[in-house]
Amino acid sequence: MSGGIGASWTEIAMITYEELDFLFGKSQRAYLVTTLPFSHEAVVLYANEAAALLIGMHKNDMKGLAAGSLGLPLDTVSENGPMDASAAENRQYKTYCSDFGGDMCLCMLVSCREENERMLAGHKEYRRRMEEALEAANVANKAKTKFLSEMSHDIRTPMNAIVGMTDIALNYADDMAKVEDCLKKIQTASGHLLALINEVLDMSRIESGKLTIMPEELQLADLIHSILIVIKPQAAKKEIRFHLDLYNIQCENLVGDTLHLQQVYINILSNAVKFTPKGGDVWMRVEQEMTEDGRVLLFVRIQDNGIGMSPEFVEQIFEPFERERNTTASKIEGTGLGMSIAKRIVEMMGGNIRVESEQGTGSIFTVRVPLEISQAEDTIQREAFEGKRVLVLQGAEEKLEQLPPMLNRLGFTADVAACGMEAIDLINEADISGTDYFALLTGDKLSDLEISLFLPEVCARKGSQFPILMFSENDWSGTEYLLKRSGVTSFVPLPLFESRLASELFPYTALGRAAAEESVRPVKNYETCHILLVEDNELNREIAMEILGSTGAQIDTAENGKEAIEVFSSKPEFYYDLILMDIQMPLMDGLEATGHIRKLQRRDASEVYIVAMTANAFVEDRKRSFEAGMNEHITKPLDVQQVLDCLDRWIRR
Amino acid sequence: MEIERCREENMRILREELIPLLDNILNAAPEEIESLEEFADVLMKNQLDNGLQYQICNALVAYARVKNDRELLIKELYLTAMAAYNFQRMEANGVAEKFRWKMRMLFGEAAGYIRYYDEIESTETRGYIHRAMGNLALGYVGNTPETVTKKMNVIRRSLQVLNDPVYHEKTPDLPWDLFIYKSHQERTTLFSFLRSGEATVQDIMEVMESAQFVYDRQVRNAREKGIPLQPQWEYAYYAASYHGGIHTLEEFLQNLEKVYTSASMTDYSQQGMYANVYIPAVYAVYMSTDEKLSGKKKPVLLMMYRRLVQYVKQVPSSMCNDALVFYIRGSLDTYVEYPGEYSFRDFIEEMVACRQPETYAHSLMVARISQAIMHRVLEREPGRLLGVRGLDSEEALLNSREELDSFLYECGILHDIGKMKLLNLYGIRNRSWIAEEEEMHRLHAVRGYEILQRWPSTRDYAIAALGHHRGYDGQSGYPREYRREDTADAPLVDILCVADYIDRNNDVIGSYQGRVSSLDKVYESIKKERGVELAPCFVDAALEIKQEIRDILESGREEAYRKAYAMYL
Repeated sequence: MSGGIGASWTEIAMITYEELDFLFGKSQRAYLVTTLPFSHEAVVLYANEAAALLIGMHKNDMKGLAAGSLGLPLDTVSENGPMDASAAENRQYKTYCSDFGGDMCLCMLVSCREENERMLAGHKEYRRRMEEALEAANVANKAKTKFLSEMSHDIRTPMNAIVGMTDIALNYADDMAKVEDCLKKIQTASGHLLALINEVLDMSRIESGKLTIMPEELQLADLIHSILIVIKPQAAKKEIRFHLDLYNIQCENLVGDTLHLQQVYINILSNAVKFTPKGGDVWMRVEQEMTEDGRVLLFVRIQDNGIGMSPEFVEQIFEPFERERNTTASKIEGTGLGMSIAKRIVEMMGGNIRVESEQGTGSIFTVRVPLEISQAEDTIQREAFEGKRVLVLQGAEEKLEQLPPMLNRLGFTADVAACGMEAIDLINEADISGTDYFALLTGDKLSDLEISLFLPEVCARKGSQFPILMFSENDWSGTEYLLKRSGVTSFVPLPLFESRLASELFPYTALGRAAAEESVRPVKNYETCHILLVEDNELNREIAMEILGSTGAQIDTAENGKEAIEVFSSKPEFYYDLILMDIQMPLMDGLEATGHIRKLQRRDASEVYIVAMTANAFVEDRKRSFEAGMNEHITKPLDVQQVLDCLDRWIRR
Repeated sequence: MEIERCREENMRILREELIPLLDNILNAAPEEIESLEEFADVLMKNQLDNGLQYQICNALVAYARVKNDRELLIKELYLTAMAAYNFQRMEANGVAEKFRWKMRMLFGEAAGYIRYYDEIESTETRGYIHRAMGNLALGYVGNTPETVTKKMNVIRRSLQVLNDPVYHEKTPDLPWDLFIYKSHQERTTLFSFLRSGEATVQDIMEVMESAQFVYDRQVRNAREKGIPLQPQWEYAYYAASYHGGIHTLEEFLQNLEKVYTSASMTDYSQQGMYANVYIPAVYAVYMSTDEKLSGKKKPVLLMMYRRLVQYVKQVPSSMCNDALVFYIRGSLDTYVEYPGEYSFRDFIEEMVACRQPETYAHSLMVARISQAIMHRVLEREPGRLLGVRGLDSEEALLNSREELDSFLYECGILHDIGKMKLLNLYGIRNRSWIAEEEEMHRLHAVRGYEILQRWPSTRDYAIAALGHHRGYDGQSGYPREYRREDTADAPLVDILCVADYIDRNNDVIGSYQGRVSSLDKVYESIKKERGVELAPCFVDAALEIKQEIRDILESGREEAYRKAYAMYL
């Protein structure tokens, strides 16, 4: 994997053939680009039409040849800048050379006759034009180099989260809750990192128009949570206040490309944090609007009060390899490619990005993306909540305003108390009239009472089983102990999501408790299952056997696609319940094998559940495996939970 | 000294016997719980020690919860709530809030057991449920429409239950009549809301109905049992009639005069105190709402004030109680000062001298020590006082010695007036204060400032009340509202601080809580506080005149008590 990344980076650092052609293809001057150093052995990477004409070969034929074989004058080559380029005399032409960066050498061939004419016509003008051509080439090269550092910044961000969280986890090694929390954050951040690395690899695909958008189930809560985990620490580090507002969120279960959306928002937010001085503010407002065709328009507005951008820069911000040339910004790492990636991704999703900015005031980015609404809905939870009364103690937390409508949508009846005294009245009222509250949902501060004194009273009165959920934007790790002792049963981070709220409250219902008991997964009996494991690597096969063995299922193995077809064919119809298929294998790969199996003339050919096993996370590759007829995808290295979940899903069918 | 010894002994008993029991209440033996219960009952019944009762009942609540002892829980919830109620009465704002929510919570919980009424067999416990339901209304203090509406709802529901024959049948032995009567009394107290413009027709009707109910009962008792009408309910009845729009203000004032004059100046019962001390306070409030009447009724009010002072002086110490202090607090809050007439300042001095002689003696001592320190400063470095009372040269200061003397005297006399606002707090001398009591005590500075701000005769000295416990360093002491840099008279307040510090740490009788030290010890500690709590230059001056201060303390205190006694006569 790491070798792959390294190779790809070098590729990216190099200017592509197409780009060289874009720069020099139409030029009247004869240009060659070779490897460095310029010598007999230097390999020709590119030659334009004019050069081809001068040398007398087809330009494509020249690619890959040694410079020496073209009869170029090699004895007076300079590797310095264009002004110092010296000329070497040859029978017909001179060669001007320059270091073109990225291990490349740019050569300009000038015929001696023409040179002499030019000398007469005006040496200065000639030199100026030559400088211009070389300057253009240099700029393009610098942009590429910058791109590399850009990417390394983006990669460093989630990496920092991982390193930081690991440190914290090590410091709190005895505190399982804390460690678990850290691990969850690490999981999210590393997921993001992996996605980014994929993006780095995707970069060339974007350039070549090969990027694929892969819509899948998207949980708005998860999407935003994954963004916060990356952005909040960045903001906190610079003492920037990060404000998140959710507005009119009507639908949290959506269909969209989570990873790419995440990338877009994180990109803009990271820039906002980067270009906002210490002590400033970054606002993120997420808003939804239903469209007439039953989709959801997701608006995300990211605003900062940072250094802003010049009007000229705003115009070209979405152009690749650009960054603001501003002295005040010069201390800050450059950006450039990020925005153009973001723009292209959003456009591919059918959305758009707008930017408004003023120097010294700040910038506003508005990302607008249409998303499908997921059809999945949890009816069990609704059933469990129906008719239950909850008390919302809004306190000083304005953001809890969204709570009552959300609770109503979930089936609850919500009473709202603006302050502690009102809450007492409502609790008294409920007690006297005999309509008990199911739970108390509270902010972390009250306008009138000290909450750490008030909650213990509620807890004492209602009993320790009474759920008290505390909602807070703040990090409660410092006060957690005190508040837990005060009776808080769980903490829910703001911003508020319906799905999150539901899953927090569900365990306290009778149905939830029943579900919790059930979910203590008994080692299910899979003894009647037949699984065909197709895997060429012996070690991997052993690991898989180990995991699958614990299920009690009967397992056959095959070492490649061809063998898999043979084994499958040799068994009676509906013998195999599940085929776990590696993708890359000798003789026949998994995709091809799956295709063959699906085409077999057997009744189970179309039904047998085929699961791809691969570490390949690229969406288009995933798409390909679905196209080949695979049912789902699990990543390598296998983990027990994943395999068991997969078996369960298959059994439920 | 005797008091101090007594307190030490009490504290030892509490520390050794009570506190460990409360700490481990869940492991307490049944007989221990029983004796705690009895102890709390006695405290409650005789209003002996609200703070202690609160602690014990609270612990019993925790015990009852864990042991699932519903009957004990209901009773102790009620008693804890009552203790909280008494706490919040001690001081109208500030600390009271803490107890008010607690009280609502506790009464509400006890009342909530109405759901399990049939499962509860004891008449006594059922009685607590009804009481809690009724007393829930006590938790709503204030005249905002929201509070009043809530209070009205609470009373309405309580009355619904109390008037429900089904409950009477279930528990025939409860004093239903008394419960109903009390609920009507509580509703009657809402009369002032009726004129607010926020009251609904139903509100007006219900309050008037309750006022009538209470009044009728009073009249009936007078006729049948010979019990005189209680002035507070007569007043409430007339007030409801006025607020309900039946009487004019003038008619109402006439009715108040009638209530006032029907009480004897030698009636030292609670009713007598109400009529003689609180009715003038109420009268002043209503009178002031109308400019014309304010002029017309001035002689009546002045007469009431003269009689009030005389009455307060007369009340025998043995009959002096919380109620009297509560009513005096009312008259301080509503006092109307007329130029050239009996001044607010004199009124305050007499009230303090009569009812808090130890505060008065302390105040006099502070006045005299302040003057002595100031004289020394004028002799040695008058520049230290530049700017005070608008005197901006040393010469002017030296020429104004008498004015400064008088200013410091007034500051001394008035600086602790805030203590009059804290009901019975200073009666707690047999044990150490609990945190809430200490917190209440600290309010005396701000409360004093507020009182003195009200009228011209005391306004100049308000700053002394506010600043006399604030540290010189701007950090220590209280309240934060006082900032030395905001007032030109700060050096004089600084002097007062030193004097107050010396006397309060040396005054055996006047010291409520602090340990009393000899003058030598006090001098050790003012050296430590030099530049921290106390201003260095005035500490130095006090150090220089140690003998003079010793004389003042030795002979002066006796004189001060004599003076208080003389005023009392």
